[in-house]
Amino acid sequence: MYKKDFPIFTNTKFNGFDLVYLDSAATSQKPQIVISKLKEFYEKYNANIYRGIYKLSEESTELYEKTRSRVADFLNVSSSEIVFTKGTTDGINFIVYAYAKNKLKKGDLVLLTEMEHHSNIVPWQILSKNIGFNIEYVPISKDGKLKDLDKFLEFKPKILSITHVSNVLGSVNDISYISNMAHKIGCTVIVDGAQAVSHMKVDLKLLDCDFYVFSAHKMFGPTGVGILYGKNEILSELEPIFGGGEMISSVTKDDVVFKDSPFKFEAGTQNFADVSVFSNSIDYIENIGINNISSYIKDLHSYAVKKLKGIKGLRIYGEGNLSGIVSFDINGIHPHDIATLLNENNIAVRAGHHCAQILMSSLGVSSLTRCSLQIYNDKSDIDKLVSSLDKIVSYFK
Amino acid sequence: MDNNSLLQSFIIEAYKNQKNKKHIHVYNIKQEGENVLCGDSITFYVNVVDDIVKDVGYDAKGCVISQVFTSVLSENMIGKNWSNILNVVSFDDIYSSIGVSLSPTRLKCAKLPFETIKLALTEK
Repeated sequence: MYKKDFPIFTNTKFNGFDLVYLDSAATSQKPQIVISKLKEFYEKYNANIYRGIYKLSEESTELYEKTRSRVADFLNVSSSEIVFTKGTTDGINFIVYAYAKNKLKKGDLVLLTEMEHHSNIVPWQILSKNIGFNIEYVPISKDGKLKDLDKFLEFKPKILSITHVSNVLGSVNDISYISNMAHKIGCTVIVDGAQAVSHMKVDLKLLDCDFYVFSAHKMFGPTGVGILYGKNEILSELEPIFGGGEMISSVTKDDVVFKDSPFKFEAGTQNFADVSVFSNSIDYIENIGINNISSYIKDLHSYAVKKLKGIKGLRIYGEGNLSGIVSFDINGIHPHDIATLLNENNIAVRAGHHCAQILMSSLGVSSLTRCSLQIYNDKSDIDKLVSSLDKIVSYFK
Repeated sequence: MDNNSLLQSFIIEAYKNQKNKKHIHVYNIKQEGENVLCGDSITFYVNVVDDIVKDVGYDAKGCVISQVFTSVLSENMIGKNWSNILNVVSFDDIYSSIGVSLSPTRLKCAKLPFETIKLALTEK
């Protein structure tokens, strides 16, 4: 139904086959409205933001700031709590260096989980080598749910950094409950929302986490734009880690006064064109309705699971999680071979460790094939996937 | 997976009919190679006498591409000069003889057996 909004599906035939795009957890496709608005920005509004005392710069600034308010409304928070970054990874690294570096000391504990993406592991490992704090990983059960989080909280971690939705298993963590538990012991909660925001209603007032980060490109928006939400009381206390450009209020030879947050964190010329256009992606989502997207994906996910289970030797990981991410393996066939053979029919899936090697190890596999769904997918995509997988299985007999 | 698919017509058949995927009892070179990121692994067993490869066997786990290239390389090694083996049996020659076009990611799989033999030559 929504496929027609996305020009990539009419522009990309391969081997005579239409594109079946099942890798939206890596990046989503872009609707025509977003593509057109990006072109329009460069044709009608391009000027550096804040600086110019002229109409074009004022218009550009207005569009940039409109996105900030649009994102804030979308998440039910205040615009002063929204910082633009380059993406989720950039956001986590910002938190690690602007916040955690000053908060943590040798012997402290940072709690992660076994289902984290490398982007929410490696920055902590790097900082840990400098400071000497400890990192523990909350384990997961076979169906991809967190195990014993309560017990790990008894160790009084200073920070818990956790994904909202697993990029491999599709598990949805109950952030509202987790924030409540963590805050009781004074633990800061950081959430990687990369796989959540385009698939479910995210109300940060309800989730009550301290930081929440995600990327625009996974929600029909341009690449190179990320959102960092931080509670006002935390952001206002943080020192910037990058200096220069419009984040400054005044400079003398001896001192500098920064602007208030969030502006003090946006040093140098920002990615204003892509940020400005991102508001159109949110419009696109809200025109369909986030709850409608959520239930559409859920239905399609259920259909995919039902059909995939008919394939001999296929095993789904995290089967009960209907958040649009289906990871599987097939006995005796390497995921890379599955992906390569599906590509012959122009079916795009992801195969490998999905930047989650700790999770792979916990699941006892080296790699999986992942099919991730978005609003532009339909049952015919699943049927094509399943029919191609049937053929692949028959080749290997 | 249409009729033009080399992966279907050649690679999968070659995968099912690997020639030297066996244990050999007499060997003087054993070398393991691994592509950690995708889980491909190979162990080569090579018997070299007077710098001539007399016999090759291997264990391999992983994708079709890595195993087929291992099989074809092993077949081409027998009877050749060991110390110069990768010049005599080059990756480029075998890649073009198989005739499949691989993406950069899959090229790593195809190169694994060659990297493993290179390691054996270096370590020796």
